[in-house]
Amino acid sequence: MLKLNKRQFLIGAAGATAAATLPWAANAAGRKIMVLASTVDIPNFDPHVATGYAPQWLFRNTYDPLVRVVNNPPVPAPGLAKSWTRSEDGLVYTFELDGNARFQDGTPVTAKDVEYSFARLLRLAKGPAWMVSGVLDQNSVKATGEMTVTMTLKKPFAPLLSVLPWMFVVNSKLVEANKGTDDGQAYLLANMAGSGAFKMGRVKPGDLYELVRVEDDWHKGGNLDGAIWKIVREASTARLMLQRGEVHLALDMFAEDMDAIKDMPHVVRIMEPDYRTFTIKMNTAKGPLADKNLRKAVSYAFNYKGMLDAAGPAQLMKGPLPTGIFGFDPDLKGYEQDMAKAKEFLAQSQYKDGGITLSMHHAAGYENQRRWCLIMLESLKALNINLDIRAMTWPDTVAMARSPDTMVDFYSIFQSPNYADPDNTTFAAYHSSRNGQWQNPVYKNPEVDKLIEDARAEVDMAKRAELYKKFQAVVVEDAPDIFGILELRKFAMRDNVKDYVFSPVAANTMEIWPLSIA
Amino acid sequence: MTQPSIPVAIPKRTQSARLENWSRAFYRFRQSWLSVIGLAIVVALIVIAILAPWIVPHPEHVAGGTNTAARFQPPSAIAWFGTNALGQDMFSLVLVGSQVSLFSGLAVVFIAIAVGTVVGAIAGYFGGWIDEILMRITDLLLTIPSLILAMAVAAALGTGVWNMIIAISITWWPAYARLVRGEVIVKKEEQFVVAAHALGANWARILGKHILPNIVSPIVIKASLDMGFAILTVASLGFVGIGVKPPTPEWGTLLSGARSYMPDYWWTAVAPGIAIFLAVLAFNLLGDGLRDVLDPKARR
Amino acid sequence: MLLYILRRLVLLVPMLLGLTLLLFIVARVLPGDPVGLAAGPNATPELIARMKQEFGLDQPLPLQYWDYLTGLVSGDWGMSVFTRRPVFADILEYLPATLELVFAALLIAIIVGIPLGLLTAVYRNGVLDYATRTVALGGIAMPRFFLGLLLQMAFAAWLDILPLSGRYPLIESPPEHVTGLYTIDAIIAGDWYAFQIALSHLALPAIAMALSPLATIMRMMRASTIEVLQQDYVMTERALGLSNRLILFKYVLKNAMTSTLTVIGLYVSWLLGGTVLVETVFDWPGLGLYATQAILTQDFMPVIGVTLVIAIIYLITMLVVDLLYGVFNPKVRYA
Repeated sequence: MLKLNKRQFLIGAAGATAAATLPWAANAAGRKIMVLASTVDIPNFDPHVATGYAPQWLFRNTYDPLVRVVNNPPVPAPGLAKSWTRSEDGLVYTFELDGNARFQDGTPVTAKDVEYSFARLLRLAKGPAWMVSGVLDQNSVKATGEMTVTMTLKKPFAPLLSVLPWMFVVNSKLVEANKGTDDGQAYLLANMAGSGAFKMGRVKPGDLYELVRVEDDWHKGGNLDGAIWKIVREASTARLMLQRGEVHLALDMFAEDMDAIKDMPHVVRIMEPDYRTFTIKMNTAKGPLADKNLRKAVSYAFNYKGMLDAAGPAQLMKGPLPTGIFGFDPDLKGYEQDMAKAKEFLAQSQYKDGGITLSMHHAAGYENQRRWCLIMLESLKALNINLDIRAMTWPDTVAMARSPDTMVDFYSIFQSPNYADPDNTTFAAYHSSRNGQWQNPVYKNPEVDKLIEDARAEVDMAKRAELYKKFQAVVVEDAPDIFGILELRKFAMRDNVKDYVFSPVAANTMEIWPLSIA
Repeated sequence: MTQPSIPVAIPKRTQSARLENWSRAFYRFRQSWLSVIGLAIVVALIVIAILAPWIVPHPEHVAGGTNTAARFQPPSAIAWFGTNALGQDMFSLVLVGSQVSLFSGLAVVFIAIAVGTVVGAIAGYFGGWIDEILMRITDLLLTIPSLILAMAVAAALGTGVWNMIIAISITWWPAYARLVRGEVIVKKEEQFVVAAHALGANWARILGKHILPNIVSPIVIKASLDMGFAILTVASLGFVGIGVKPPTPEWGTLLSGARSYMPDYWWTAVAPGIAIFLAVLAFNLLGDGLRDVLDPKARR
Repeated sequence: MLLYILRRLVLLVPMLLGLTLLLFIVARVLPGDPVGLAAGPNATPELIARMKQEFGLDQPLPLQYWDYLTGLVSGDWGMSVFTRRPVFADILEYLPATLELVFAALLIAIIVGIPLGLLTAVYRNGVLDYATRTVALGGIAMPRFFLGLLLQMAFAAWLDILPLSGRYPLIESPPEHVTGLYTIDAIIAGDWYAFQIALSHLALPAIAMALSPLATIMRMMRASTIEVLQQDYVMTERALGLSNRLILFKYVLKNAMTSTLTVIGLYVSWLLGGTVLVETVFDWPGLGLYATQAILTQDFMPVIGVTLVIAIIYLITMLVVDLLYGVFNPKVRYA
């Protein structure tokens, strides 16, 4: 049965219940199960539909893409494809599939499944489909052999290998068998059809999701028998669970938490710069903030310093692009708090004397966002504008972003880039084809759209940088967002987790199957 | 000629009998030092709630102002209860927080008394099928777990002090309806009511003039005991995240927010927590004392 | 007696019918778009329409109520939009956790409250009496969630001798399901280790819940014992030479039973509904946490279901309490 460790032995003398408080220590002798603490729920299991970081983490561990992304700086690595070649003109990619790859029902992954998956992704045009919009269509990906896939691009697209890790392959036979009238969306909402290292165990929405290692898993690496995505709403609870070894990895940590765990034994802090941006979106399509002068007034009135102070180690953004990324314009003139200018723009708006009430939402449990709401409230008070603040669950926020009518005046988001290219942020957050999505619910400017499309297809780097420079100037002038801060990525991990390598793209959705617990 | 004075006349009544009872009651009340402490805290709370906006050191923080340069300061001579994540003075927030708690507690109890008395009096006075229907509805509501119902209604109505008050009141009036009905049924049979009836007084007059004034004390006792629990319920709703709109400081909401900073910044949680405790305790003590004086039979 | 029980049971039926109607109306008045939320990001209108159809939300209200009612009887309590599972299955899963918590709290209240009440009555106005009475006064006024937080900080964060939250370690499987009450199941399975773990997780939330009923039971026990000690017949019996101890024991037992019953009657609804707060603090996967999440996502079927279950438990408990009153107090007549 159970072997007592030294601590249990010592405490055991103090009373029976005391010894029972360290059951997680039994883990060392038993199954290797990694527990991750997050504030976010996983509302949808369909890899071609769902977005957001919790679902993406699920997909990276239960499905497989053709190409994965690993390391820092990030590089492509084999996934379902063991190798690939690119034609000289950059328009045709050929992938050779790994013959060992098996779906969770035991059937091999074939080129047909890849073709089916890309066709479904682009047919539904949801989830990560936007990343290749204009580059691939439903017929661009073809099985040209049992294990060979050929991808024909409509125009050159430099970051192709960087976007493939987010496009997952489903078991075509399984999805076809449960197709229904909506292309299997109702089925995949709550069922899995992947080839990943883990299958779904216990599902308790709002509480936990358990992943169980597939028998005869074809992936090589890691010793985990399972993993648990535990929803822990309070960062302080996550921190204490980490301290006690109940959790191996806490994903949503704030600056205060990092300070508190600085000297905690057996806990490793991971604080790395990445391109995650924190911005406050404004409803540019409906309501008072459709008035550009009011948006500018708010942009000048906002207390950026307070936002930075409340966030902990971070830096302020100047404009829409993360500082330092390719194309970022260091000479860009952004906004800073300037009440004189704020009042000047307010006077030019339709709301000269304020007297209105705007609404602002923040993600429930996301403490920093709640603080920024309060800072916004204080800033707007100087313009005689009231603010109505509400907490919202993530699925609520996504639902709200679907139309300008349901969207609030302000809401706070953070975006983790999936590929280290300005195209990611510009397209996801400012291209009008993304309207209705949480990253860009309403903002629409044809000039901006054109700049984004041109920059995306431009192969000359100097010209491309010039296009992005122009893009930044136009967007700053339009003031669709409060450009907030770049925070350090903050995780905390138990020191018995081995083989973890930080990667700055989508760091919070890491693959856990290559990891081990000592 | 001088009017002969009446030698040993009936002693002149300086007070009405009712008033005399009150003064006797007050004497009994003073005998119990716990009740006096309760009364003292309640009075102090009311004074604080009224004066808070003028006496707190940082009224601007109460209105939503922040001071991010002084975040998470521990309690000190400058900030007695420390500061929170936004550098707001906890002392100011907690003091002004008494306003929402006291006001909503009072409002809940008043609404519950008003609705409960009307329903209970009508049911008790008329009896028959009116009684049957009203009491079945009352019983029905009493079986429902009040906190869950209040949460559901408050969540549906949206955040805001009045929505919260309405939601809690819905679950509170049935208890008063039962109480009043029972008392009315007893009083209905008493001589003075029968007499008034014989004199042709209509039902509204009998209820309002003769019965209700005579059942004030059980209502007062229950109300004072309930005040504490009303404050507790308000704080509970705030704690689960269905409460007032920010930035209005409310004890339950303050405590809920402070959870994230435990145990390192414990003062952000301890101050509002103790405030809730003290307020509830004070009203309970006061209620106990009132019960002792107004209803000596129940005295233990 | 039997007739009385039957009559009470028959009276439960219209009560429950009224309850379902009331709850149904309340729930349907709630604004919000639970289906839209559940369908998740990027759901098509067709998917939403299909889900609405699946949940029966596209029919007229009276028909929806009728469907709901017939469903209730056949064990179909509707679907939770949030968990994507039948409400009845959810409730079966969450109810044992809540019951375990409530039983444990009542047990603590009775086991500690009755002797304490007795002692304070016998040694009235002593140091112990004042000390416990002061604590009891505080116990009723203490917000459960604040007490829970303090206990958590003291015993989990600071002393590190009890678990922080949850009902069982995440990575372990609970004892084999028989009653769903982990402590009981562990005893049935004869698994001492599982019992310790379950108990250690149960301790803090149960204490946080127990304080208020404990204080009440103690006060009642003290009062009734004092009353007994002062009553004439006790004086007589004492004069007749019965030993003090025997007198105490004889009357105290009866008083203990009636106080316990009264407190159970008073607190059953309070405890069941009040788990919301303690379960939130301790992340205890019971009905309260389930109801809270449902309320926050405007998912009304679970809220109706939970409320209904608690109301049924309340009504049945009250019936049993009333009957037991009669057993311990023959003066009560069943009319």
